Amino acid sequence: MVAFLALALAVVLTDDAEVMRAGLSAMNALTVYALVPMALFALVMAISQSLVSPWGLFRHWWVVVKLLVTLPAVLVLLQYTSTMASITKMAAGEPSAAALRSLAMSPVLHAGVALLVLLLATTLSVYKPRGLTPYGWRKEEERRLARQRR
Amino acid sequence: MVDRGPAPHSSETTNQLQPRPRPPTPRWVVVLGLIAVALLVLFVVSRLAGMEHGPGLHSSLRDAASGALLAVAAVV
Repeated sequence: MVAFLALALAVVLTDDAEVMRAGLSAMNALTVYALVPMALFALVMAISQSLVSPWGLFRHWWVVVKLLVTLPAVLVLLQYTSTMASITKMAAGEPSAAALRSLAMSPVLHAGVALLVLLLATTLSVYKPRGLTPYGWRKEEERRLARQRR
Repeated sequence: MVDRGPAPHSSETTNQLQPRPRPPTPRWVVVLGLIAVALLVLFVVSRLAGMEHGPGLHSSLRDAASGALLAVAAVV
């Protein structure tokens, strides 16, 4: 994602139309061959690890919020592959640097927002703020009462 | 007959066997939820206003944003 944002900024900040077209093409390839597979892999690993670990998938608010933030981000990324392909196709027929620069603003904005989402997910994973969901509280109480009755 | 009195800690034992009330939802969850709802409302309003979400969506912001980026790059 950082590489994608760096390429997008490079496209916006240069005046060379050929460099812009190459940058947009590279961003398209990066999206399809790196971002999408890694995002899907990370999502599957996160869900499976949650199910195996004591944290669970729905017991703690930080896990639920992280899932609610990550899942739409992955869906938007999947949808954005077609947008990125359209941008690359439009860039191929576009001669002027100004028009190419304006095409690159969408990837810059989306990459910026994606980085913010990643930052939020990472912060949640590191700090793990306290808070049990209603389901998690119910499970904890069941466990506590079962221990008390022994 | 010896009055042994109430069983020790019987009220505490009874209380420990009662389910405890659930604590309130943490404030950080409420704040993040409100932010998410606000963003969702903005998105729905933009769709209802007929704004197509594609590369052309940001056309009104493009020139301003790219101009700002170029100005920053010139200064640096």
